[in-house]
Amino acid sequence: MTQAHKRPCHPRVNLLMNGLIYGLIVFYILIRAVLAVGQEGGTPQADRPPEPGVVALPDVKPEDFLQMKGLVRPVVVVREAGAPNLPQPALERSEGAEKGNLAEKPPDTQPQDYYFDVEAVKMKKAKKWLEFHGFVSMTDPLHGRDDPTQRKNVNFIDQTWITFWLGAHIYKTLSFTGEVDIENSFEVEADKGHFDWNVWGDRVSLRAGKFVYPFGIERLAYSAPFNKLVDRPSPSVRIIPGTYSDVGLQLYGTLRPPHVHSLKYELAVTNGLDNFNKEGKQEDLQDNNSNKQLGGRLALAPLSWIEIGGSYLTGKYDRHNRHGLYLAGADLRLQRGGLELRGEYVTGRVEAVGGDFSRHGYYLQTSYHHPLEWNYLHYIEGVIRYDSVNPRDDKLDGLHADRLAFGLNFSPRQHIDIKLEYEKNLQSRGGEDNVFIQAIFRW
Amino acid sequence: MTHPLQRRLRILTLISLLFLVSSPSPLWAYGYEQNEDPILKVFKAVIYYGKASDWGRVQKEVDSVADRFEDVRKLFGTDLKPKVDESIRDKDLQGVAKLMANMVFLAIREKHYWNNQERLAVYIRSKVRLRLAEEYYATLLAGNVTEYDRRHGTNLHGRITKCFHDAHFSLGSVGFFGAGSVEPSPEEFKHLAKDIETALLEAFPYFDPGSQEALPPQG
Repeated sequence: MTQAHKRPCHPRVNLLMNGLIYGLIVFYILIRAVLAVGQEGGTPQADRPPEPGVVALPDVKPEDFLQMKGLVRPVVVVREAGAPNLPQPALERSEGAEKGNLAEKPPDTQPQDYYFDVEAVKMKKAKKWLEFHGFVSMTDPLHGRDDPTQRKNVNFIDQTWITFWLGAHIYKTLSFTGEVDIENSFEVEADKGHFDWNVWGDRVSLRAGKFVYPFGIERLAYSAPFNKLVDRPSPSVRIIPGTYSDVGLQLYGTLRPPHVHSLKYELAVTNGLDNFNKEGKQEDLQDNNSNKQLGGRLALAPLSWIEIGGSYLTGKYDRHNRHGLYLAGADLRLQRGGLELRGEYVTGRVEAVGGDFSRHGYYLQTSYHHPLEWNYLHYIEGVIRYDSVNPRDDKLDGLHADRLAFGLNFSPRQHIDIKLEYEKNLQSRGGEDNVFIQAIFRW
Repeated sequence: MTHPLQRRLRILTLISLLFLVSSPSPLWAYGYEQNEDPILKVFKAVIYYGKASDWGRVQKEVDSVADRFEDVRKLFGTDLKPKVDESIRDKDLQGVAKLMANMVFLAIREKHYWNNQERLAVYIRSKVRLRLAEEYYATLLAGNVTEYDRRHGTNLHGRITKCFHDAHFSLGSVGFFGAGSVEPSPEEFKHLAKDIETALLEAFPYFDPGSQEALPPQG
């Protein structure tokens, strides 16, 4: 997830990595084959078996239904005075039916035929027991380079990113999600690996394992197919833990109180960081101290298209449990049709040996997604983002950055996205403007 | 000199691309999640809130797709919205559900109509319309059609499903940037769409099907 330093590979690591990659390829082939057979073998849609006894019919005759609410059989269309005189529809037999392959004698109607069984509507999408997704993104900085703390080099191949995502519905209320990233010349990192248990529908769920820390909203859109620009907002990259994965437990759910659309909560207890810097996340199951990091997010959606959230995090990061890291964040997201507006503000206090300091940053991004549905241009999207970050307010070390970015995205074909970004560095000293192009292939 | 790992990465990227090109185009993929169509969302919400007797919310949901009611009224001359409003006032879930199902049928007809009008000229557009029509059917109407089949010993669901399946082939294909493209068959699509609509009217004898042909544009 974060852009790590380039390191030489140890032969064993190399071997392990190759095994993993080729194993994943074989696994992918098998899964695609199984899914392809599954798709050919039957029609998943509407194969709901009839449920005897579900329909509770009132004791009425067809004639009664004809009089209800002006609903009548199509052969006897009744219209109000003044309505256009429309031709009377009639059931027609198709050519295929006439040939006999679909021939059916129109049956006599029954009272039940005038009853709509609401229980027979599929209220939820059928879940597949195993899903396998992923993407390959290739980025090329056409001009300049991004912030050196975000991108260590501009080698084309080092900007290639491959993600494999696996989701398994183990049981009705139990699922597993795993995600492996291959980045920066074959550095393999497991970003996610967690079990989710729906204790009480979507109201109360429990998550255990390695997951993206529930702070802010950038974590929901950090990866290339979701991110509307090529690079990420600077506060999410340079203020730990803007977006990072940690090992622990999480309690989350969505409540639907009256008069509002929803209320979401996420609470997490994790191992925490071992450093206040960007590289502060710990190796998978390691923990450098006995302190546990606590945090989470609470979000209120008064309407379906607007969500306001607040996040908080606290924990000790050093070996002796002396120095704390405290962060608070506020976020906003509005979405109406193709228009989206999102913004976040993060502020925090870090206790350090050399003296405590504060850090803060924010970004505001707006985008408009216009579906075209042309043969070689499925959609076009324009994006503008302004971000500002100051990781340490006690030092004038040039880490403060203000940037303005413009993006243009389009899709020439299903599963393929192309992104262009121009980023203006507004800092008075240092930094240059950047131009990026990114191609994403997702499945 | 190229690092061996980088060579492997290129090979891996190439393999991934080949998979993508040969992919059977699943509806889902890693990326932006497709927003559920308003008709699907509202129909489900109407049932959910109707069962809970939250009629204010039912009215609000129905009002949110007033433009869709208006679209089909202009096209087929059937104005269902006042009847839905009346059923909501009467707190009659069965009446609302039947009218909403009728609305879904007309929405399917609308998709077919525009595909026929354009004679499947723009592949992606035709495909999206057909996918939506199929989703409307599979999610909202198929359960009741299956029950109808069970009562009458017919196979309308199988017939409709086969028509949708065949209709996908009638759209043709744009191939990969033109290579391997297949011309669409508008006549075959028209025929299959008609068969779907006829079968639905058989399963739902209380549906108002609207005019046989679309009405001229109103000012």
